[in-house]
Amino acid sequence: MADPLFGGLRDRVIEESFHRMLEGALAQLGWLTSRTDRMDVTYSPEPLGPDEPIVPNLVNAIIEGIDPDEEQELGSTLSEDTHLAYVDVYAESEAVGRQLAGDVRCILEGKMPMIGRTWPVLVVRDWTTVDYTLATPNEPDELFQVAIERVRQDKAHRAAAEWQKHLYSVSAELIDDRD
Amino acid sequence: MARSPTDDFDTAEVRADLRAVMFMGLPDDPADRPIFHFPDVPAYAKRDRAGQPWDFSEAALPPATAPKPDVLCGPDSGEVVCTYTVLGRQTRAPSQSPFGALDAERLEFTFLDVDYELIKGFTSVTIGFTTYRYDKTLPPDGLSDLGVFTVVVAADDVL
Repeated sequence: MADPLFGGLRDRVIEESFHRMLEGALAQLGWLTSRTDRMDVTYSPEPLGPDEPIVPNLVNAIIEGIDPDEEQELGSTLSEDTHLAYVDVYAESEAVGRQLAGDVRCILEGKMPMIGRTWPVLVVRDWTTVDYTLATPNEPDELFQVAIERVRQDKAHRAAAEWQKHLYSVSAELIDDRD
Repeated sequence: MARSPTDDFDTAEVRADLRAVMFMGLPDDPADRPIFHFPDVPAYAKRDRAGQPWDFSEAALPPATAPKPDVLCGPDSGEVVCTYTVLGRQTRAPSQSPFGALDAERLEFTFLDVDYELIKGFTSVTIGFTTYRYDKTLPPDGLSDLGVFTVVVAADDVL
């Protein structure tokens, strides 16, 4: 196993692993494939600007903040950091929004056995070692696992704007136990 | 094919005349005219999914293709003519921030089709000491089969 990472680089690698896991799972479920019966689904890990157009069906996943917790054991440096993840689904309709957001929720909960998601954990891999100048980029080693807890699905209630009409939001806490 | 109600609409002639008028509206000193800049995003061997390096001291890879050079405003080949209007700062609800309302100054550029092709894809435009970033392209207009494009940019500063 590769050496664990520290500091902000560790945070970035956790975020990278989260986005790659979620986008990959949505692709496995067929959401990122074009179809004639719905608009294309796009995945964005970037914050949206205040006047940036929102084109359905957009899945916008952001890790908003990190809550460093108190130490976990008396006399040790073991602590846990909670990364707050939000996945907003701007859907074209209730049907697409409810199903897409529900799939996101179940991916995070580890309740998608058909794509191998059977446990609410995020496998964090060392993406810093992947060299994209190679013809076949090397696979990153597994570093550690992060628990996914407090998964919650919300829906905009009495939307104040058209773009909020089919807005679903799934939130989760990524628990990083670190020494 | 011309879509004019008359058969004597000469698109090429109208385009040339309009471009001449648009050029008259640009500042006389070329240094005061807009300069359009294009993306020059460095690539790294080891990078995250957004393209940013994991190690900020890592040198960027040599570009596979040279970045597109700046496009100047003028009458020569490879240059564009345009008009622009200051939209002001109150064209939309100001963005809120922890230290107050932010509302960037905006400009609205108008290009004819031949000029728009040259600046399509620009990321920012500099006029004097002020840099404006690309915001959006509005739905195109037409004058017979002459394309007219409107592009909105927003100032980087928020004074």
